[in-house]
Amino acid sequence: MSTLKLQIVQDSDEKNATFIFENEDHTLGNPLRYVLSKHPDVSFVGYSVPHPYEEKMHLRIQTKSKPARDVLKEATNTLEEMMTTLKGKMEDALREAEIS
Amino acid sequence: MINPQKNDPKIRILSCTDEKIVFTLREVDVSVVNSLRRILLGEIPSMAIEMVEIINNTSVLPDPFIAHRLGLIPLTSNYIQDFNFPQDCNCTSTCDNCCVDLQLSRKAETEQEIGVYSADLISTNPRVTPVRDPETPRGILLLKLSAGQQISLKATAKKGIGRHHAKFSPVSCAVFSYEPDVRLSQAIIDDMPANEKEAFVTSCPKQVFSSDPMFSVIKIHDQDHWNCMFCQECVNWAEENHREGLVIVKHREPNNFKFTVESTGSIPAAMIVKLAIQQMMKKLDLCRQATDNIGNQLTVLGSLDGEYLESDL
Ligand code: SF4
Ligand SMILES: [Zn+2]
Repeated sequence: MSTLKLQIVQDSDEKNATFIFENEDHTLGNPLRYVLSKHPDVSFVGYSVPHPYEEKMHLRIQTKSKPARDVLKEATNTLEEMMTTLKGKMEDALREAEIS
Repeated sequence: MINPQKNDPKIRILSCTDEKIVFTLREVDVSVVNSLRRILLGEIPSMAIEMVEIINNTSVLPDPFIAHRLGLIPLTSNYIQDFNFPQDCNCTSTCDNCCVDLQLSRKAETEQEIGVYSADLISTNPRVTPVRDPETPRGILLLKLSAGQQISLKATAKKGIGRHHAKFSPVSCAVFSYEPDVRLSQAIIDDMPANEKEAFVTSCPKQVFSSDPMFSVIKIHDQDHWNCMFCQECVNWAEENHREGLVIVKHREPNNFKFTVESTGSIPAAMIVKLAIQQMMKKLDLCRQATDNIGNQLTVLGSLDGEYLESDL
Protein backbone atom coordinates (compact mmCIF):
# COMPACT_ATOMS: atom_id res chain seq x y z
CA MET A 1 0.00 0.00 0.00
CA SER A 2 0.98 3.61 -0.29
CA THR A 3 3.67 4.49 2.21
CA LEU A 4 3.70 7.47 4.49
CA LYS A 5 6.16 10.24 3.74
CA LEU A 6 6.81 12.95 6.26
CA GLN A 7 8.33 16.35 5.60
CA ILE A 8 8.95 19.07 8.09
CA VAL A 9 8.71 22.77 7.43
CA GLN A 10 10.59 24.46 10.20
CA ASP A 11 10.02 28.03 11.29
CA SER A 12 12.60 30.23 13.01
CA ASP A 13 13.12 27.72 15.83
CA GLU A 14 12.41 24.10 16.72
CA LYS A 15 9.25 24.94 18.61
CA ASN A 16 7.24 25.85 15.55
CA ALA A 17 6.83 23.51 12.64
CA THR A 18 4.47 22.33 9.95
CA PHE A 19 4.59 18.64 9.18
CA ILE A 20 3.52 17.48 5.75
CA PHE A 21 2.20 13.94 5.68
CA GLU A 22 2.05 12.45 2.23
CA ASN A 23 -0.56 9.77 1.54
CA GLU A 24 -2.49 10.70 4.66
CA ASP A 25 -5.69 12.65 5.28
CA HIS A 26 -8.28 13.36 7.96
CA THR A 27 -8.05 9.74 9.15
CA LEU A 28 -4.70 10.48 10.76
CA GLY A 29 -4.90 14.27 10.98
CA ASN A 30 -7.97 14.64 13.13
CA PRO A 31 -7.02 12.24 15.97
CA LEU A 32 -3.48 13.62 16.03
CA ARG A 33 -4.89 17.12 16.31
CA TYR A 34 -7.11 15.96 19.16
CA VAL A 35 -4.29 14.38 21.16
CA LEU A 36 -1.97 17.32 20.53
CA SER A 37 -4.59 19.83 21.59
CA LYS A 38 -4.64 18.10 24.96
CA HIS A 39 -0.84 18.09 25.28
CA PRO A 40 0.27 20.47 28.06
CA ASP A 41 3.23 21.80 26.07
CA VAL A 42 1.29 22.67 22.93
CA SER A 43 0.21 26.26 22.44
CA PHE A 44 -1.27 25.82 18.97
CA VAL A 45 -2.19 22.87 16.81
CA GLY A 46 -4.22 22.60 13.65
CA TYR A 47 -4.35 20.46 10.56
CA SER A 48 -5.54 20.85 7.03
CA VAL A 49 -5.85 18.93 3.81
CA PRO A 50 -5.03 21.76 1.40
CA HIS A 51 -6.43 20.14 -1.71
CA PRO A 52 -8.60 17.01 -2.03
CA TYR A 53 -6.73 15.87 -5.18
CA GLU A 54 -3.36 15.95 -3.47
CA GLU A 55 -2.85 13.20 -0.92
CA LYS A 56 -1.24 15.51 1.59
CA MET A 57 -2.07 16.54 5.11
CA HIS A 58 -0.49 19.50 6.89
CA LEU A 59 -0.12 19.49 10.66
CA ARG A 60 0.94 22.70 12.35
CA ILE A 61 2.38 22.53 15.86
CA GLN A 62 3.59 25.37 18.07
CA THR A 63 4.91 24.44 21.49
CA LYS A 64 5.95 26.25 24.62
CA SER A 65 9.31 24.60 25.27
CA LYS A 66 9.99 21.19 23.66
CA PRO A 67 10.80 20.77 19.97
CA ALA A 68 7.64 20.31 17.92
CA ARG A 69 9.01 17.07 16.53
CA ASP A 70 9.29 15.45 19.96
CA VAL A 71 5.78 16.51 20.83
CA LEU A 72 4.46 14.94 17.63
CA LYS A 73 6.19 11.71 18.57
CA GLU A 74 4.68 11.79 22.04
CA ALA A 75 1.25 12.32 20.56
CA THR A 76 1.74 9.39 18.22
CA ASN A 77 2.67 7.20 21.16
CA THR A 78 -0.37 8.34 23.15
CA LEU A 79 -2.65 7.58 20.23
CA GLU A 80 -1.04 4.21 19.73
CA GLU A 81 -1.59 3.37 23.38
CA MET A 82 -5.23 4.36 22.98
CA MET A 83 -5.61 2.04 20.01
CA THR A 84 -3.92 -0.82 21.88
CA THR A 85 -6.37 -0.41 24.74
CA LEU A 86 -9.26 -0.18 22.30
CA LYS A 87 -8.13 -3.36 20.60
CA GLY A 88 -7.98 -5.21 23.90
CA LYS A 89 -11.39 -3.97 24.96
CA MET A 90 -12.85 -4.89 21.57
CA GLU A 91 -11.51 -8.43 21.81
CA ASP A 92 -12.85 -8.78 25.36
CA ALA A 93 -16.26 -7.50 24.32
CA LEU A 94 -16.41 -9.85 21.33
CA ARG A 95 -15.43 -12.82 23.48
CA GLU A 96 -18.10 -11.91 25.99
CA ALA A 97 -20.71 -11.53 23.25
CA GLU A 98 -19.82 -14.96 21.88
CA ILE A 99 -20.25 -16.66 25.25
CA SER A 100 -23.62 -15.17 26.04
CA MET B 1 -13.37 16.30 24.35
CA ILE B 2 -12.08 13.82 26.84
CA ASN B 3 -8.52 13.64 28.05
CA PRO B 4 -6.45 11.14 26.04
CA GLN B 5 -4.50 10.28 29.19
CA LYS B 6 -7.65 8.82 30.71
CA ASN B 7 -7.72 6.13 28.04
CA ASP B 8 -10.53 4.02 29.40
CA PRO B 9 -12.83 3.15 26.50
CA LYS B 10 -15.92 1.06 27.15
CA ILE B 11 -17.34 -1.23 24.51
CA ARG B 12 -20.55 -3.20 24.63
CA ILE B 13 -21.64 -5.43 21.78
CA LEU B 14 -25.37 -5.10 21.21
CA SER B 15 -25.55 -7.62 18.39
CA CYS B 16 -23.04 -9.49 16.32
CA THR B 17 -23.48 -11.68 13.27
CA ASP B 18 -21.23 -12.26 10.27
CA GLU B 19 -23.16 -9.63 8.33
CA LYS B 20 -23.65 -6.95 10.93
CA ILE B 21 -22.20 -5.80 14.22
CA VAL B 22 -23.68 -3.13 16.47
CA PHE B 23 -21.81 -1.88 19.51
CA THR B 24 -21.71 1.07 21.83
CA LEU B 25 -18.50 2.95 22.37
CA ARG B 26 -18.03 5.22 25.36
CA GLU B 27 -15.24 7.47 26.54
CA VAL B 28 -13.63 7.72 23.13
CA ASP B 29 -13.23 11.04 21.38
CA VAL B 30 -15.25 11.59 18.24
CA SER B 31 -12.10 12.16 16.18
CA VAL B 32 -10.87 8.65 16.95
CA VAL B 33 -14.27 7.10 16.27
CA ASN B 34 -14.47 8.95 12.98
CA SER B 35 -11.02 7.70 12.01
CA LEU B 36 -12.19 4.16 12.57
CA ARG B 37 -15.21 4.81 10.38
CA ARG B 38 -13.04 6.27 7.63
CA ILE B 39 -10.70 3.27 7.79
CA LEU B 40 -13.62 0.85 7.65
CA LEU B 41 -14.89 2.50 4.49
CA GLY B 42 -11.67 3.18 2.72
CA GLU B 43 -8.64 1.33 3.98
CA ILE B 44 -9.51 -2.29 4.69
CA PRO B 45 -8.37 -4.28 1.67
CA SER B 46 -10.55 -6.84 -0.06
CA MET B 47 -10.70 -8.63 -3.40
CA ALA B 48 -12.77 -7.39 -6.32
CA ILE B 49 -12.81 -7.96 -10.05
CA GLU B 50 -10.47 -5.51 -11.76
CA MET B 51 -10.16 -6.87 -15.28
CA VAL B 52 -12.72 -8.52 -17.54
CA GLU B 53 -12.04 -10.16 -20.85
CA ILE B 54 -15.26 -10.70 -22.75
CA ILE B 55 -15.02 -13.70 -25.02
CA ASN B 56 -18.57 -13.72 -26.30
CA ASN B 57 -21.51 -11.57 -25.39
CA THR B 58 -24.74 -11.83 -27.32
CA SER B 59 -26.91 -10.60 -24.47
CA VAL B 60 -28.72 -7.26 -24.62
CA LEU B 61 -26.30 -5.64 -22.19
CA PRO B 62 -23.15 -3.95 -23.53
CA ASP B 63 -19.74 -5.25 -22.43
CA PRO B 64 -18.73 -2.29 -20.19
CA PHE B 65 -22.04 -2.51 -18.40
CA ILE B 66 -21.45 -6.14 -17.52
CA ALA B 67 -17.81 -5.47 -16.57
CA HIS B 68 -18.92 -2.77 -14.15
CA ARG B 69 -21.50 -5.04 -12.56
CA LEU B 70 -18.89 -7.77 -12.16
CA GLY B 71 -16.59 -5.33 -10.38
CA LEU B 72 -19.20 -4.65 -7.74
CA ILE B 73 -19.69 -8.31 -6.76
CA PRO B 74 -18.32 -8.94 -3.25
CA LEU B 75 -15.76 -11.74 -3.17
CA THR B 76 -14.87 -13.66 -0.02
CA SER B 77 -11.70 -12.08 1.38
CA ASN B 78 -11.04 -13.90 4.64
CA TYR B 79 -7.53 -14.73 3.47
CA ILE B 80 -6.80 -11.28 2.11
CA GLN B 81 -3.53 -11.15 4.08
CA ASP B 82 -2.15 -13.90 1.87
CA PHE B 83 -2.44 -11.70 -1.20
CA ASN B 84 -0.18 -8.90 -2.37
CA PHE B 85 -1.34 -5.60 -3.74
CA PRO B 86 -0.75 -5.73 -7.51
CA GLN B 87 1.64 -2.76 -7.31
CA ASP B 88 3.71 -4.45 -4.56
CA CYS B 89 3.88 -7.90 -6.14
CA ASN B 90 7.13 -9.20 -7.53
CA CYS B 91 5.55 -10.59 -10.67
CA THR B 92 5.62 -8.71 -13.96
CA SER B 93 1.89 -8.79 -14.72
CA THR B 94 -0.25 -11.32 -12.87
CA CYS B 95 0.43 -14.27 -10.58
CA ASP B 96 -1.29 -16.39 -7.94
CA ASN B 97 -0.05 -14.13 -5.16
CA CYS B 98 -1.86 -11.06 -6.42
CA CYS B 99 -4.64 -12.23 -8.72
CA VAL B 100 -7.49 -14.71 -8.85
CA ASP B 101 -9.07 -15.73 -12.13
CA LEU B 102 -12.77 -16.33 -12.47
CA GLN B 103 -14.77 -17.64 -15.40
CA LEU B 104 -18.33 -17.24 -16.48
CA SER B 105 -19.96 -19.14 -19.28
CA ARG B 106 -23.70 -19.48 -19.74
CA LYS B 107 -26.02 -20.03 -22.65
CA ALA B 108 -29.79 -20.07 -22.88
CA GLU B 109 -30.17 -23.41 -24.64
CA THR B 110 -33.92 -23.71 -24.47
CA GLU B 111 -36.74 -21.30 -25.26
CA GLN B 112 -36.77 -20.29 -21.65
CA GLU B 113 -35.15 -17.07 -20.47
CA ILE B 114 -32.40 -17.69 -17.92
CA GLY B 115 -30.79 -15.52 -15.29
CA VAL B 116 -27.03 -15.36 -14.87
CA TYR B 117 -26.06 -15.02 -11.25
CA SER B 118 -22.85 -14.25 -9.44
CA ALA B 119 -22.70 -17.86 -8.24
CA ASP B 120 -22.19 -18.86 -11.90
CA LEU B 121 -18.73 -17.32 -11.72
CA ILE B 122 -16.27 -20.16 -11.28
CA SER B 123 -13.21 -19.19 -9.31
CA THR B 124 -9.81 -20.85 -9.66
CA ASN B 125 -9.13 -20.21 -5.97
CA PRO B 126 -11.64 -21.64 -3.47
CA ARG B 127 -10.68 -18.91 -0.98
CA VAL B 128 -11.89 -16.14 -3.26
CA THR B 129 -15.40 -16.85 -4.51
CA PRO B 130 -18.50 -14.72 -5.02
CA VAL B 131 -20.23 -14.20 -1.69
CA ARG B 132 -23.24 -16.43 -1.15
CA ASP B 133 -25.63 -16.71 1.72
CA PRO B 134 -28.26 -19.36 2.46
CA GLU B 135 -31.13 -17.02 1.63
CA THR B 136 -29.92 -16.26 -1.88
CA PRO B 137 -27.83 -19.30 -2.83
CA ARG B 138 -27.38 -18.10 -6.40
CA GLY B 139 -26.06 -14.72 -5.37
CA ILE B 140 -26.61 -11.51 -7.31
CA LEU B 141 -28.46 -11.37 -10.63
CA LEU B 142 -26.04 -10.08 -13.25
CA LEU B 143 -28.04 -10.28 -16.44
CA LYS B 144 -30.72 -12.28 -18.22
CA LEU B 145 -30.34 -14.29 -21.39
CA SER B 146 -33.23 -15.11 -23.70
CA ALA B 147 -33.33 -18.04 -26.11
CA GLY B 148 -30.04 -18.53 -27.92
CA GLN B 149 -28.14 -15.73 -26.23
CA GLN B 150 -24.89 -16.46 -24.53
CA ILE B 151 -22.21 -14.94 -22.36
CA SER B 152 -18.69 -16.11 -21.80
CA LEU B 153 -15.93 -14.17 -20.13
CA LYS B 154 -12.79 -14.30 -18.03
CA ALA B 155 -12.36 -12.01 -15.07
CA THR B 156 -9.40 -11.22 -12.83
CA ALA B 157 -9.85 -10.21 -9.21
CA LYS B 158 -7.22 -8.15 -7.44
CA LYS B 159 -6.63 -6.74 -4.01
CA GLY B 160 -7.42 -3.10 -3.39
CA ILE B 161 -8.77 -0.56 -0.94
CA GLY B 162 -11.99 1.44 -0.84
CA ARG B 163 -10.17 4.75 -1.04
CA HIS B 164 -9.22 3.89 -4.60
CA HIS B 165 -12.50 2.33 -5.65
CA ALA B 166 -15.64 1.75 -3.58
CA LYS B 167 -15.95 -1.83 -4.85
CA PHE B 168 -13.01 -2.78 -2.62
CA SER B 169 -14.76 -1.57 0.52
CA PRO B 170 -15.72 -4.59 2.67
CA VAL B 171 -18.53 -2.68 4.37
CA SER B 172 -21.88 -1.73 2.94
CA CYS B 173 -22.50 0.54 5.88
CA ALA B 174 -20.30 1.99 8.62
CA VAL B 175 -22.02 4.65 10.69
CA PHE B 176 -21.99 5.94 14.23
CA SER B 177 -24.43 8.15 16.05
CA TYR B 178 -24.63 9.84 19.40
CA GLU B 179 -26.87 8.25 21.99
CA PRO B 180 -30.19 10.08 21.93
CA ASP B 181 -31.79 11.35 25.10
CA VAL B 182 -35.55 11.72 24.68
CA ARG B 183 -37.47 13.02 27.66
CA LEU B 184 -41.19 13.47 28.12
CA SER B 185 -42.97 15.77 30.50
CA GLN B 186 -45.43 13.66 32.47
CA ALA B 187 -47.35 16.73 33.66
CA ILE B 188 -48.16 17.82 30.11
CA ILE B 189 -49.02 14.27 29.03
CA ASP B 190 -51.54 13.97 31.86
CA ASP B 191 -53.15 17.14 30.58
CA MET B 192 -53.65 15.82 27.04
CA PRO B 193 -56.82 14.10 25.74
CA ALA B 194 -56.46 10.65 24.18
CA ASN B 195 -56.75 11.83 20.56
CA GLU B 196 -53.96 14.32 21.09
CA LYS B 197 -51.79 11.64 22.66
CA GLU B 198 -52.39 9.42 19.66
CA ALA B 199 -51.41 12.24 17.30
CA PHE B 200 -48.25 12.83 19.31
CA VAL B 201 -47.23 9.16 19.42
CA THR B 202 -47.70 8.85 15.65
CA SER B 203 -45.78 12.08 15.01
CA CYS B 204 -42.52 10.19 15.48
CA PRO B 205 -41.46 8.46 12.25
CA LYS B 206 -39.25 5.99 14.14
CA GLN B 207 -41.81 4.78 16.69
CA VAL B 208 -39.79 5.90 19.67
CA PHE B 209 -42.92 6.39 21.77
CA SER B 210 -45.24 3.55 22.70
CA SER B 211 -48.68 3.66 24.14
CA ASP B 212 -51.50 1.37 25.23
CA PRO B 213 -54.45 0.90 22.82
CA MET B 214 -56.52 3.45 24.72
CA PHE B 215 -53.77 6.07 24.57
CA SER B 216 -53.75 6.77 28.27
CA VAL B 217 -50.04 6.47 28.99
CA ILE B 218 -47.09 7.28 26.73
CA LYS B 219 -43.80 5.51 27.33
CA ILE B 220 -40.38 5.05 25.78
CA HIS B 221 -39.47 1.39 26.02
CA ASP B 222 -36.08 0.32 27.27
CA GLN B 223 -33.96 0.43 24.09
CA ASP B 224 -36.39 2.32 21.85
CA HIS B 225 -34.65 5.65 22.33
CA TRP B 226 -31.86 4.31 20.11
CA ASN B 227 -34.27 4.49 17.17
CA CYS B 228 -34.41 8.26 17.45
CA MET B 229 -32.74 10.02 14.51
CA PHE B 230 -32.88 13.57 15.91
CA CYS B 231 -35.41 14.66 13.31
CA GLN B 232 -37.20 16.92 15.84
CA GLU B 233 -40.63 15.96 14.44
CA CYS B 234 -41.95 15.37 17.94
CA VAL B 235 -40.63 18.70 19.18
CA ASN B 236 -42.19 20.49 16.22
CA TRP B 237 -45.47 18.71 16.82
CA ALA B 238 -45.46 19.87 20.43
CA GLU B 239 -44.79 23.45 19.40
CA GLU B 240 -47.44 23.49 16.70
CA ASN B 241 -50.00 22.15 19.12
CA HIS B 242 -49.08 24.53 21.91
CA ARG B 243 -47.58 21.84 24.07
CA GLU B 244 -44.16 23.42 24.48
CA GLY B 245 -41.91 21.44 26.78
CA LEU B 246 -43.74 18.16 26.17
CA VAL B 247 -40.61 16.53 24.80
CA ILE B 248 -36.89 17.29 24.78
CA VAL B 249 -34.49 15.57 22.37
CA LYS B 250 -30.74 15.92 22.78
CA HIS B 251 -27.47 13.98 22.83
CA ARG B 252 -27.03 12.07 26.05
CA GLU B 253 -23.27 12.53 26.46
CA PRO B 254 -20.67 13.97 24.11
CA ASN B 255 -18.53 10.79 24.00
CA ASN B 256 -21.12 8.09 23.76
CA PHE B 257 -21.69 6.44 20.42
CA LYS B 258 -23.52 3.60 18.77
CA PHE B 259 -21.51 2.12 15.95
CA THR B 260 -23.09 -0.01 13.22
CA VAL B 261 -21.01 -1.92 10.70
CA GLU B 262 -22.57 -4.00 7.95
CA SER B 263 -20.38 -6.27 5.90
CA THR B 264 -20.83 -6.95 2.20
CA GLY B 265 -20.15 -10.58 3.09
CA SER B 266 -16.52 -10.55 1.99
CA ILE B 267 -15.19 -10.49 5.59
CA PRO B 268 -17.18 -11.12 8.82
CA ALA B 269 -18.25 -7.83 10.40
CA ALA B 270 -16.45 -8.33 13.72
CA MET B 271 -13.26 -9.18 11.85
CA ILE B 272 -13.50 -5.96 9.84
CA VAL B 273 -13.71 -3.90 13.02
CA LYS B 274 -10.65 -5.64 14.44
CA LEU B 275 -8.78 -5.07 11.18
CA ALA B 276 -9.70 -1.39 11.30
CA ILE B 277 -8.13 -0.97 14.72
CA GLN B 278 -5.04 -2.81 13.52
CA GLN B 279 -4.86 -0.62 10.44
CA MET B 280 -4.94 2.49 12.61
CA MET B 281 -2.09 1.09 14.71
CA LYS B 282 -0.11 0.36 11.58
CA LYS B 283 -0.63 3.94 10.44
CA LEU B 284 0.64 5.29 13.76
CA ASP B 285 3.62 2.99 13.65
CA LEU B 286 4.57 4.40 10.26
CA CYS B 287 4.03 7.88 11.62
CA ARG B 288 6.38 7.23 14.53
CA GLN B 289 9.05 5.80 12.26
CA ALA B 290 8.72 8.86 10.06
CA THR B 291 9.13 11.24 13.01
CA ASP B 292 12.29 9.34 13.96
CA ASN B 293 13.67 9.69 10.47
CA ILE B 294 13.10 13.39 9.99
CA GLY B 295 15.35 13.90 13.00
CA ASN B 296 18.36 13.01 10.87
CA GLN B 297 17.45 14.39 7.50
CA LEU B 298 15.66 17.58 8.22
CA THR B 299 14.13 19.14 5.15
CA VAL B 300 13.63 22.82 5.70
CA LEU B 301 11.27 24.18 3.09
CA GLY B 302 10.55 27.64 4.42
CA SER B 303 7.25 28.83 5.73
CA LEU B 304 3.88 27.95 4.24
CA ASP B 305 0.72 29.89 3.74
CA GLY B 306 -2.51 28.15 4.43
CA GLU B 307 -5.45 27.72 6.65
CA TYR B 308 -5.44 25.35 9.55
CA LEU B 309 -8.54 23.68 10.86
CA GLU B 310 -8.95 23.72 14.57
CA SER B 311 -12.44 22.38 14.84
CA ASP B 312 -13.91 18.96 14.20
CA LEU B 313 -14.73 18.22 10.60
S1 SF4 C 1 -36.58 13.48 17.25
FE1 SF4 C 1 -37.68 12.39 15.62
S2 SF4 C 1 -37.02 10.26 15.85
FE2 SF4 C 1 -36.45 11.29 17.74
S3 SF4 C 1 -38.17 10.93 19.11
FE3 SF4 C 1 -38.57 12.89 18.12
S4 SF4 C 1 -39.80 12.38 16.34
FE4 SF4 C 1 -38.90 10.47 17.07
ZN1 LIG D 1 1.72 -10.98 -8.61
